[in-house]
Amino acid sequence: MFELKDVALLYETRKQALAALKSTTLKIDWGEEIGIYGPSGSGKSSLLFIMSTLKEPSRGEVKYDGKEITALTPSAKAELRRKEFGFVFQEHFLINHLTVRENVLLPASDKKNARKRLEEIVGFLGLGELQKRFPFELSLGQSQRVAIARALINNPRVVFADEPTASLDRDNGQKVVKLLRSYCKKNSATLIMVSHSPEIIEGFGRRFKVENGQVSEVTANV
Amino acid sequence: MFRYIWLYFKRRPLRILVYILVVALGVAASIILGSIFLSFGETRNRITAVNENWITIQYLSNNGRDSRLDEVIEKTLSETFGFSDAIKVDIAYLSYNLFGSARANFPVYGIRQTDIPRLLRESDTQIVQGTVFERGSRDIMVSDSFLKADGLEVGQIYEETLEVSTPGQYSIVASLKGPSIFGLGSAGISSGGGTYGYMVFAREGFLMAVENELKNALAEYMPSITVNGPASSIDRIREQYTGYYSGVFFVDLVIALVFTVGLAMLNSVSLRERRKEYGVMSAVGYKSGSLRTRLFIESSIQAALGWIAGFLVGLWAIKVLEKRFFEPAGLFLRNDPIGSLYTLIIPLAVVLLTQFLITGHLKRDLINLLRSASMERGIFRSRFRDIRTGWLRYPLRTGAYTPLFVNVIVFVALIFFFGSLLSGLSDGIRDSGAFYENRTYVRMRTGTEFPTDIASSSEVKAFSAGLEKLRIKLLFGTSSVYIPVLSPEDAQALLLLNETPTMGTLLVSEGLSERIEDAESLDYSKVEVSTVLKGLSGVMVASPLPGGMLLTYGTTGEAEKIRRSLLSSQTEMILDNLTFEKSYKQETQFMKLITEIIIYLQFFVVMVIGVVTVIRTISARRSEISIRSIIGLKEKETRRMFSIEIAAVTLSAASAGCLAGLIVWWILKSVFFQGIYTSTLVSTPTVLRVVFMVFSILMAGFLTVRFFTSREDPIAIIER
Repeated sequence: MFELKDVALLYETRKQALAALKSTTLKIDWGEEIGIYGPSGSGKSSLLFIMSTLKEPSRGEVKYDGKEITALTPSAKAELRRKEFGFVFQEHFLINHLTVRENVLLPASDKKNARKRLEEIVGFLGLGELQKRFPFELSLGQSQRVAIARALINNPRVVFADEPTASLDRDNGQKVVKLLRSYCKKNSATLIMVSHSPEIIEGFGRRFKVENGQVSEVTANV
Repeated sequence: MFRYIWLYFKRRPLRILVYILVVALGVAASIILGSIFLSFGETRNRITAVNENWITIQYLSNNGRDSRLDEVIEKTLSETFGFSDAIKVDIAYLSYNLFGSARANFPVYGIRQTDIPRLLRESDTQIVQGTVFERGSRDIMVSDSFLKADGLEVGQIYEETLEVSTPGQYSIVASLKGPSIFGLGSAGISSGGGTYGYMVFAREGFLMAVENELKNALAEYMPSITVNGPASSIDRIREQYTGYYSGVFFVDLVIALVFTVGLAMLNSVSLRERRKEYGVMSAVGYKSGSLRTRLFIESSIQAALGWIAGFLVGLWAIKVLEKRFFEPAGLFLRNDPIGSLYTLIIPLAVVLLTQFLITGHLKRDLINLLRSASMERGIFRSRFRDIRTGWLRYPLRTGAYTPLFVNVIVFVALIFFFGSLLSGLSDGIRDSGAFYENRTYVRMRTGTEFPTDIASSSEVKAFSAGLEKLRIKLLFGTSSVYIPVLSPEDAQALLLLNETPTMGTLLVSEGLSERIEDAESLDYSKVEVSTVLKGLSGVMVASPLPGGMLLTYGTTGEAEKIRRSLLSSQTEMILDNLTFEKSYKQETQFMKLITEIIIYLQFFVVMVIGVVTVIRTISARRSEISIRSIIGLKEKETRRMFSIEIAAVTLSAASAGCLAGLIVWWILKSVFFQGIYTSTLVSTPTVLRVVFMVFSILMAGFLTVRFFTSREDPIAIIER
């Protein structure tokens, strides 16, 4: 499904070129649970952004479902993200003037079915009572669950999660990971999660360690 | 504290600059407009100031000098004061067209040639060009400012610029330059009706005492005889200046209102953006008094810089205008510190307003203040939780569009109000000439025959006609409606009536029928409305006095041909569309200038503030643009929604502004300007101005949206 070939991300400064991500080649299949971990600034988020079309690599090839996606137009990339991907970040990135319901429905491509699906998701995430609230009226854990609901509204085939538990306490963090994993398992969706802590991604099918921009797959338990 | 103020100024230079620029613009505009007002005052005062050099004892007469009054004056002068060197004069007053409707009449003294040096010496005046007048001629020597104002040259025949021109009355032979404005001509200049009297001189320091003595001595003959000298001139100058300072104050007040509203909006956006900063400062221990002081210093510095910049720009602009506008218009510039002090209204209002706004913000509790950056509060937010229309959510749930909304309402309302005011001012003057659009009225001098060849053309029809004058009340002053007096048969033919009207009928247009209560001076027995008559026009059915002709023709171009044909004839009066065009231009020029300056200033201010507000509103939503992009919404969708929001806010505000402007105008018209004639409530230029302004704001908004949506990298929010 995802095929990365010699992908690298370089930042050119006046004095030198810094490699946020060194030459990376990897392959991910449908329905896999991918955990990416490493210290802050190691390049793990860069890898996620490149795969999810949010960032363009400096070189290399990124194929999704057999098609090269780095060369797509911004509009085609947006369409791909909307239809195929779901995003959850460390910060919830909800839009303040929209209610919970409106935030969740924002990316919905098929509004009619989305409303039906909304009921399922809010039920699944326990957001039923909060639908008319604004983001600033929610706790951090609630906000993150709304962000997850928004990520799942279009029934994505791939869910990208960048440090989704970083701003939450342990209990809430575990709940969020559990929710994401159970959704992906149930819907055969691919979950790609980035975390600075290997504990969070414990039990994931495949794990990658990123250090100084170098990506390596970890086979043994960490 | 000063360090933080300095850091704020350093880190937000553009914001500070816009602020200073708007204050400066307001101050400069006030100074420029104030100087125009004061220059009229100064010019009029130079006319009044003639009496600081001598005393004139004068009386009005329709039949030349009055020997009885002359005897009284001469007796008083010789018996009481022993004066033997009083100069016998007659005085003609020429209309001095300062700019547009602001007119002044200056005296032209009819004297003997031998008295010229004395008058020039006493008034500290010189002949700068030309020769002295010839005895018994119609030659005159006039102030060079008068020549500039009327665009005449020495040697050019002067046509008196009254409502009705009288060709070839005087010939200008010399220009005078000095501290006061007057003219000199040969004795007998007021042949027939005019002002007659004596000029009395005294040693420096005695003139005022002599004036008062003369007033006492001639008290029993007043008001037939009037005495004008330095004492009365000081009173008049003081009175005139009070009037001009009121004008300056009013204009400054309007400008201050426009700019203060604009700056309040800018301030409101700025303070809203800085709420979190105040919250953090409160959290680390700054008292609200200290924050208020800090903001007071910040706004005072900005307001002071703006005032200084505006003051300097204003002075520079006046210097430029002096060469390009004041001098060519015959106006004298007056730099007056009091007029400049009025401009302090703007910076003071700004500082006070800032304090008022910050006090409102600081009333919130600390947590509320800290969280306010993420809690956009719209006044109706809680009422609009269920709103389904996407583009209405942001404007209704947040206060972000409030400054733009309020600005557009206020400015559109002001443009509507001033537009209506201007149209109300000029409608009466314009429409009073409606009758003469395709008609010319000519009156020949007594004993002169009307040239028959003019009426022989098949294009021109001639009717024997008299003329009656009717004055109608306008917004500022009055206007004259000239009503021809025609025989019943001619009135029937002219107005295509089915029946011959009876004698004493006053046929009027619909516009004039509403103002007929002003027509008390006319001797009519009944009034009938005629659909053929337009604007403010009428025809009186009566026996016309001989000497006048009404010529009608098909095309307006005929008016000029008729004028040319009449050049060599002894005409006493010509009324045609050219007369009214000139009068309309002159009467409305000044108010039009002031109104248009105010309108375009508003326009500029609203443009700056509108564009700044739109840019700030959109840039405050950059994270939202990023979020929309991350979750896969296309640029087009985001752009469309933002654009619809801006259009909805701007258009609804513009509609509300139009309505508010019309209501305010209607209320003022009904309460203060009762019975004022206006043919239109909203003029086309007003509508065009509003359309252009709204269009410009929308374009600025659309371009800003386009800029941010196309530039904002989806990942920018995470990286920020």
